[in-house]
Amino acid sequence: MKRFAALILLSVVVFSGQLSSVGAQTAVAPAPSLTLPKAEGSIKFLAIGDTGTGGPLQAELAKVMESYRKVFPYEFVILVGDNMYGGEKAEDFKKKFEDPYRPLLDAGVKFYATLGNHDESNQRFYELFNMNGEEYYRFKKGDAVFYSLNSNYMDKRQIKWIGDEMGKDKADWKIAFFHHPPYSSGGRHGSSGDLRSILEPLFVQNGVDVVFTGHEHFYERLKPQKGITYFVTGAGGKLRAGDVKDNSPMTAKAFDTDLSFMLVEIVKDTMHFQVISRSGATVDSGTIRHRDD
Amino acid sequence: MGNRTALIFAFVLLWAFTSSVEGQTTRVASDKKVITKFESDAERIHVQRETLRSRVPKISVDATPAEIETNKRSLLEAMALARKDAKMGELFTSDAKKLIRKIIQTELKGWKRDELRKTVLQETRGVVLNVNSVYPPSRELVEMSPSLLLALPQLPRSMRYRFAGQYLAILDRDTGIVIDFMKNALA
Repeated sequence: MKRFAALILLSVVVFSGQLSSVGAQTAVAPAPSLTLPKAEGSIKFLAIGDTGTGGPLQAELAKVMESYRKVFPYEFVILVGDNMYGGEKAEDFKKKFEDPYRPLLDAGVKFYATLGNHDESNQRFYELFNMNGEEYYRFKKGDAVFYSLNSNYMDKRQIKWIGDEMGKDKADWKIAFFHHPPYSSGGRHGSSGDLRSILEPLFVQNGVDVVFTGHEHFYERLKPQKGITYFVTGAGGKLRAGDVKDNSPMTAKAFDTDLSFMLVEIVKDTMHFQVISRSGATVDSGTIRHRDD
Repeated sequence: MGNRTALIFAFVLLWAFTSSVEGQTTRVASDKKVITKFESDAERIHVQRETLRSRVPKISVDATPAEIETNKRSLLEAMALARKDAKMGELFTSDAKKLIRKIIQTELKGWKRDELRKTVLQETRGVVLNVNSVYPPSRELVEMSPSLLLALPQLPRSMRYRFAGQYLAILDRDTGIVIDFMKNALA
């Protein structure tokens, strides 16, 4: 009888242990919950940067990206640079990019890269980065044109190209993405003021609506600057915890306590965004109306 | 008397103005000469490099990582061999160095200079440069100031200016080979 009671007690302990273990998993990775409209025919993508460590944090965040794709089937990902840290041998491409994002790649998600300060220019040839052999390039999705720029080396040729291409494009949405943030409240780097002095007039003149950048290992949404919304989304593989300056007058919202990525959906003249942390929680969301030309 | 004083004053003013303009013109003309030589030397190195590139395994715009690595290594070996006798000062001659330091001082003032110095010293500490060696692949490259790039002599597509510590280097874009470098660029 004592033996039977002990068996019952043991079963209860094991069973409750399993329950608490499930509970713990749920607390770490809640079921994906969307604030985005998920409209038929909309442009759906993900924005992320500073990913390429090949480490466990990048892998964990990649799993959350994958889980969110089940409820929000984004078609492509923009990478805002630092796609590979510390060397670029063939095995690095596998470890720091292909392995973590294998489920997304297998599902047909396209990645469009831009170069960060840790990236070699040879990445422009890599088939899975879709750069078509160019350090700066553009592509179109529905009513939106995306400009991937090389902020490492903004020379005369590139500045002319930006002016020419943006001037020609008549798209509703003009979206630029590159590595160094023209505006940032980061303590380590901060705003790239010199870059801003060259790019901002071009963006304003040519009706750029939104800019995605990285370099800073946190998330920040800046208050609109001259009508343009700037995002820093550079916590895709590394985190610089607590780096966002307190009470920065430029910050609309910041998150610097965990890794994160952005889900973005464009429905006609509205861009919806939702920022997801490594735990699966939503840390920012909102909408942006495109600028009237 | 008054008229004579006024005449002399006007003459002195005219002389001072024309001397100043002449000085500027001479300086600009000599700068142009230095820039032309610098750019044509850079172009010569670029042409040599492109010839070497045409001889190594081709790379497509949808290459695999292994193809990228092979192409880079082949080009690097070919360039290192072809430039084995290259020496410091091939592009940064003493005239070029003088001019480039002047351009840097003119273009990078105040916050621009502080911003760049802070980043360069922070991110490239300990990087050692030698002509024809490779910039350490595991070390990051500091972004170049766009306004400075607009003012510096123009380089062919295959070459890049880069700051590392107190040095300004010219690197090959795809292999990272140091083509040339000068000291005390940000002094």
